[in-house]
Amino acid sequence: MIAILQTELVKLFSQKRTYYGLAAILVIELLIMIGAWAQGTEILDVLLENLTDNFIMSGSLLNGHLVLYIVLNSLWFNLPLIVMIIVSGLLTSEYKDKTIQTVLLQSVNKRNFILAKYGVALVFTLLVVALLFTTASLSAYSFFGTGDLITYLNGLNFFESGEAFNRIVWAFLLGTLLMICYSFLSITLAVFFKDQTVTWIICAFVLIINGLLVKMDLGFMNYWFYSKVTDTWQYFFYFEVPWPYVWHNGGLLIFYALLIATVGVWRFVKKDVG
Amino acid sequence: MIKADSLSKSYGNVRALHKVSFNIAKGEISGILGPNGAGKTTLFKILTGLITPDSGSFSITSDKQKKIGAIIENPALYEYLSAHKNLQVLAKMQGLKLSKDQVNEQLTLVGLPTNRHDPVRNFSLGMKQRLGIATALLNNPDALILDEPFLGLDPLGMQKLRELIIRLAKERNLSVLVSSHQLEELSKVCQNLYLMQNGEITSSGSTQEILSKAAFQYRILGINLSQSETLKTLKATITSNTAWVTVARNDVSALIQQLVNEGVEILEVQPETNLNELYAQV
Repeated sequence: MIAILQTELVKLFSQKRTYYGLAAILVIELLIMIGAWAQGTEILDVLLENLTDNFIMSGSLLNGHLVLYIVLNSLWFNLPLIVMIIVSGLLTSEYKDKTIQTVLLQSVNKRNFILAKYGVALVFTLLVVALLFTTASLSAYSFFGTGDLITYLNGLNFFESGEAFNRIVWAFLLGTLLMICYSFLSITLAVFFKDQTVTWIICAFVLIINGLLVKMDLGFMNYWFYSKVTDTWQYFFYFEVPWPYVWHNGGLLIFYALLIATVGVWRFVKKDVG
Repeated sequence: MIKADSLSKSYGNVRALHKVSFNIAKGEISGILGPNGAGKTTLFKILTGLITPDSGSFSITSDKQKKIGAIIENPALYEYLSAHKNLQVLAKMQGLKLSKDQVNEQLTLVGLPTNRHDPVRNFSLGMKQRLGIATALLNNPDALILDEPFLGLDPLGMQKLRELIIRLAKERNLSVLVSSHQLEELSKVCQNLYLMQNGEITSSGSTQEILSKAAFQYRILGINLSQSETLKTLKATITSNTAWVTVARNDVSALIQQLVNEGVEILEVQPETNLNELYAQV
């Protein structure tokens, strides 16, 4: 199993598309930084004109924390799309090139093979989020410094610099769980659809539908439905963090990730490859 | 030894395979001849475990971890990896640790250069076929299945592949099953042939037996062919130095003797097959 996982990593990092995907993430990150640098101060001044007359803010409000918060907001849609495209390609490219036949013509266990795909999806997702966090925080704090963080969720919320950083780290951790869910989902979709383009379209469709459902009131399903827990990372930017919901939703994301992977493994093992 | 017993497979209402049975002994090369859509690939996918039959069974006598090696349809390789890396990756996936020397040995076995480290997407089809066979031979299986291995190869590539298949069967005592829709190529490597049509084996026997059914005409390459009265009597088609004549297999030797007596200098006699007629005949 470990040997298959290692070979899957070799395959992943031997393909150009992996590096294009990583480069795309860095480009988006760079564009956000440039946007914040070019227009951020102006927009904040207009928004907070009255407040700054009555309150004393520590440091510039356009600071590394705010930029990281914007990165979080922007990338929780773009990032899953890139991750899903690259990760689903781990399997769809094997179907397209028929290398999946070559592998399964060796004495390789089908279950171990597909489990290794989920394993490498997990490793890659963790790597992408770590890369995003490292590069975004290094560049954001280097260019914009630190200061208090202001967010607008159920009203304006202010966080002191130290607390702001803790909340951003928590948001990244929760976001990682969400990314793992999406990543596993893309492999499962690849198991079902096999075709690269179809899988990509379904992945984009899932993200769009998710974006719509997250804003709808689904009654008691609000507490259990997958789409409704995808914005849990935002709870860390409310004035009071609703920890019971955070733990519940975090657990639910892990449950969904395992469920999605189980369905994919079951289907792959059951179905003929040829 | 590969033994198949009454294998059947359908896709919805389409019957892909119907009660297919055969035996291939160790060290024997057998061929499956059939047109496109005859069910050859379906049969091979069943024998390699890629798909499950609706009914029937098969067995491969082997105590190896990997009983059978195969190339189905085309040699599917990781095009972005080198030949060395392809072998290493596929070996590692099944728990084998190949040293650099062992990888080179495997490449040499199939006649590939050991100094190529560029991605296999740069390889010719013939080289990919050879690398495909090298991957099939990983973990020393006792049987080898090659689906249309001659497809798209130039004459030199075909000859090299033929030699390789014969050598592997002999040296490693492998049971080899090769499919093709080219009787000429199969007849050069196989001891036995199975004719397959519409998912069924319609005829089987030694290669000579099948060839005798298939050789409807002979192409004679020689000098002074147009002077031969015998060829005119047989209503042969004659061009400047080639004649096509239809005679029974048993009469070929007598014909050649007669032509020599008439002053024809014979350079080559080649049986030419008409597969459509062969399939129709069986």
